Amino acid sequence: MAFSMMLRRPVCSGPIMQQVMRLATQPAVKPNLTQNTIQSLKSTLLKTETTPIMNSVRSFRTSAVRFAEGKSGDHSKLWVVERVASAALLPLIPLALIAPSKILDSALAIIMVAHSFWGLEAIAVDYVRASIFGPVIPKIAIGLVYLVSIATLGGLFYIITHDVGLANSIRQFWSIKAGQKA
Amino acid sequence: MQRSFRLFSFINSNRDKVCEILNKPYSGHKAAPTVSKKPVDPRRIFKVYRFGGIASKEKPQVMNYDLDISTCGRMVLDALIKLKDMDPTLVFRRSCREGICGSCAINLQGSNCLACITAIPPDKTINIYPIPHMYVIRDLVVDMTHFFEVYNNLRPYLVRRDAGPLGKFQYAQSIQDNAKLVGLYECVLCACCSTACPSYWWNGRRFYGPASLLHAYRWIVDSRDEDTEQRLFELRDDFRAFRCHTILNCTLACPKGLHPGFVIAKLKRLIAGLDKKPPPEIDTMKFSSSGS
Repeated sequence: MAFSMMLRRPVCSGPIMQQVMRLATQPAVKPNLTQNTIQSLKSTLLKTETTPIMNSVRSFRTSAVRFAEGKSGDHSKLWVVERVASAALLPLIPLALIAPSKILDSALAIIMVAHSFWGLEAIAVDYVRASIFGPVIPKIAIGLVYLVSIATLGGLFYIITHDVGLANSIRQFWSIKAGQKA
Repeated sequence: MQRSFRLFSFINSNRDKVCEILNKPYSGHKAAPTVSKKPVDPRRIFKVYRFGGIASKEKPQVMNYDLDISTCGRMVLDALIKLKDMDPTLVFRRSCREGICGSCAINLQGSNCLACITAIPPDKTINIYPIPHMYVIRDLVVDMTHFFEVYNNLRPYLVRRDAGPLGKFQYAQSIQDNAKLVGLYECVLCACCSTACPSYWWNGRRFYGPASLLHAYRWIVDSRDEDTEQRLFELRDDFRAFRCHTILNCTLACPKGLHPGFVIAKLKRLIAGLDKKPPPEIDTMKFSSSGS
């Protein structure tokens, strides 16, 4: 979902759409008139600048509520996968640590990186918002999340294939004896 | 069915238990202390957020008012009305004074509540702010336009496949099916829950918020409604329902004792297809021929 967000342009960024939004949030405009008012928007643009009541509350974009109905993706399947991954980690971590093996290490690496990726993606989507940071930085943030996750997965697989493996690396913490020189 | 009854009494009586579990004292609902050290001085200081509106070019400020609460009723709304007697420029919304209209939502000592049904807390200084992260029109009055727009967008009415003549007969509903709406229909749209939700603070433009999601679930789970598939289809994207991260501030804040967090969890399971809405227990069109 975040990847498609990175590529997708905002639906309602034009000045006409913003004016529709502003007029649509005014209680005075009846909903069945909004179609006709799109044509007359250009003429009324100047008028709305001067009426103080209309400007006393700042207008803002309510794009997804009205206009992005058909374009919204299906996140529900991914949500289930995220919960399954979290549930799978619960037995997998102790199991992989108790019985170190390449298969369990690989499964652990993949599911852990996926879990962290979805968590970091949610953080970036929640906090790095276009309304504060502008149009470019949120996409960079999501890109960084992808980068960090891919790098982590690569690093973990390197440890599994060319080094002792994940579970054994953690176990090495306990193999340090007191008084041992590093 | 027994399970659903137990579930709902669990929901309605469990607010204090939720607070215990979360280890956070909820100052808006302190029970009367059984052992009081000494009677609290009724002369209190009310610190109220004041703002003239964006047309006035003033900066918002917090004004201090001294009020002897023995001269007014027990509730915060009574104190606010007394404050308005002292300073007529103070502005706030209120209507029913009994917690059913949802107008007087405020932020009291850091927690959202309805002023008319919240007793004045036993503190020396009482902080009254508008509900958080909403555009302030003036003083304690905030712009609820977007909140209500989102609510209207989820079609908060019964939708049936063939919209026959309305009002000719009642739609039949079993007692157990009606009991499913307990804990859902009581929502007064005060926005205490939505404005307590950090996810709604950061993404209020696209995230529906706990109040609207509670109402979305209310219309989905109603046995008389037949548009379940379309309702769930409209909620499936990443922002409308799934920005909820189970923070549970909503349940803590609800002045009516409802449990939006739990309801949203059930809603997510319905959207994902893990749960299915059961068919109505009795035929909804039962009274169509006799006409009652």
